Amino acid sequence: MDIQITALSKTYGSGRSAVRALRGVDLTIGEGMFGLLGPNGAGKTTLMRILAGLVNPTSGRVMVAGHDLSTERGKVAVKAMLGYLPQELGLYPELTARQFLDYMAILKGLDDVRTRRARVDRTLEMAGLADVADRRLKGFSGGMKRRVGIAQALLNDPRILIVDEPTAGLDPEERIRFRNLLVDLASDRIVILSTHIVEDICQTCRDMAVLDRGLVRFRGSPADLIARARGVVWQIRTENGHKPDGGLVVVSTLQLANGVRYRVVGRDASAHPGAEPAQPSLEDGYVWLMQAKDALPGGE
Amino acid sequence: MNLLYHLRIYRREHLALPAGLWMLFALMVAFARMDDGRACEMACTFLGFVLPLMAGILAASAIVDDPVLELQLAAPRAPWRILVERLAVLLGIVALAALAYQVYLGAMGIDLTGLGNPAARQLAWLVPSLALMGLSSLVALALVQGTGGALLVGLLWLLQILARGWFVASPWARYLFLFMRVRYADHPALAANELCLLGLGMLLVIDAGWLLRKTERYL
Ligand SMILES: Nc1ncnc2c1ncn2[C@@H]1O[C@H](COP(=O)(O)OP(=O)(O)OP(=O)(O)O)[C@@H](O)[C@H]1O
Ligand SMILES: [Mg+2]
Repeated sequence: MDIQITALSKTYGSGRSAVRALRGVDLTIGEGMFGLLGPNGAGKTTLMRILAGLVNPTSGRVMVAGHDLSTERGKVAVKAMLGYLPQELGLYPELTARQFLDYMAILKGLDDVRTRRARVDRTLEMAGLADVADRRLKGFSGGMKRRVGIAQALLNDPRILIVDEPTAGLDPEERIRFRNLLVDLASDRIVILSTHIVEDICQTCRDMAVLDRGLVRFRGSPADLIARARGVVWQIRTENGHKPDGGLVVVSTLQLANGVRYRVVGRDASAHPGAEPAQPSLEDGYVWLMQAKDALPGGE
Repeated sequence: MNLLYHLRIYRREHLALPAGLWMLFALMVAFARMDDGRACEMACTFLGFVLPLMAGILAASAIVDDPVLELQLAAPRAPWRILVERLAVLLGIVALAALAYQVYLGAMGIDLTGLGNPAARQLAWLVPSLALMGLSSLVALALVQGTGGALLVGLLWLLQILARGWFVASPWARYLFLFMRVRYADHPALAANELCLLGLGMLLVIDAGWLLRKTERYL
């Protein structure tokens, strides 16, 4: 089972106000965790909504497990095997978690009362909501609402799980829990995770892509992206606090007792005598990738 | 089951408004009871004017104001079903209000025979309600904004009341006049008018369902 995306483009609006959210994306996504990384406005949500059958592409083709998403029938077939957690999750505040899930299960076509009840109980448990199942959603914290979101996505035991920035706004513990849950789920299904938190991908995905302004900038494993930054990551210590320049991009800054330590990426740090080479991380690889593109002629 | 949840998530005003208006007009009829003509007039106002306006206004927010629309549309079912189900729930609420009101009128001894036999009488609220619901849901979806639909319905409603003489006299607009049965029950074009409005109402709902197919507009 896989997802094949060919020459996918999406333009919102037309004329002068047109926004090209996707500009010819080619991707094949197989089973396991797939991470989609990219800055704000890269087109991640657009791509996920297309995969969820909510947005029609302007051109290009998407095949999900052999179903063509451009047909109504294909869309319904794909939606039936899909779990989707939108970036902006709305809930009905007056319903309890259990009622909400029951309602969503009905919409997903779980018509038999007993199977549905069992399924709702199971997902409540998986998402760690069993204790608060009968409380109204309006009293839920942000993290609990996210859990309801993931529980809802799992109701139909989906073959494909699409989660759009699920860890935004979660505390570290909750984020780790969530990531582990996704990894567990990915053992026998496709899980697509979008995020701009590099660490989330690093910890979970074997396969990933970097999307930027509608184009795929990188495709491969996190290790490949890290490898790209080999030899271009440096640590520089300065006492006067002058920011390193000369084509170097600062990844992080650490205030020390006697100066500042910068972590930078750049081809050449010879202008800074104290620069020491450092082991690249995924974040370095990402920053290196993004700055390399900024330096391209034409500024694309 | 599904419809039961629809009913539950209907925001409070969707149930409070019909209940409040019902109570108000029940009281008004009770006070006007001595004067049979006035009581009957008030009863007709509620059934033929107030209920349809309310149905139209509430239909405007049936879809576009739903906080969970993205999940609703991501479910493996045809998008138009959401619209039809919600309008059905709304129509159910309106029907309940109308029927309960008529039972109440019967108990108060107020006579509605002017509107036709008990079955035909139901057309007095059903026809304009359906037409206005269709119009407002179509406009709300076209504009992706509930207030737009409600506003248009309100304006049309007012216009028809103010210019009712012109509507009834016009050789074509008479078929689009919403209040034929409550105002001119013995008009020769009554049947054609009701048929026309019912057909139009259905057509508008179908168009609205068709608009909903382009799901990305509503996200
Ligand atoms: N419904 C819409 N109408 C018009 N433009 C849109 C619409 N949705 C997205 N866009 C535009 O398309 C581009 C891609 O947006 P998208 O939401 O897919 O990015 P994203 O990668 O998910 O960003 P973020 O990380 O901020 O969520 C942006 O420029 C955005 O302004
Ligand atoms: Mg997004």
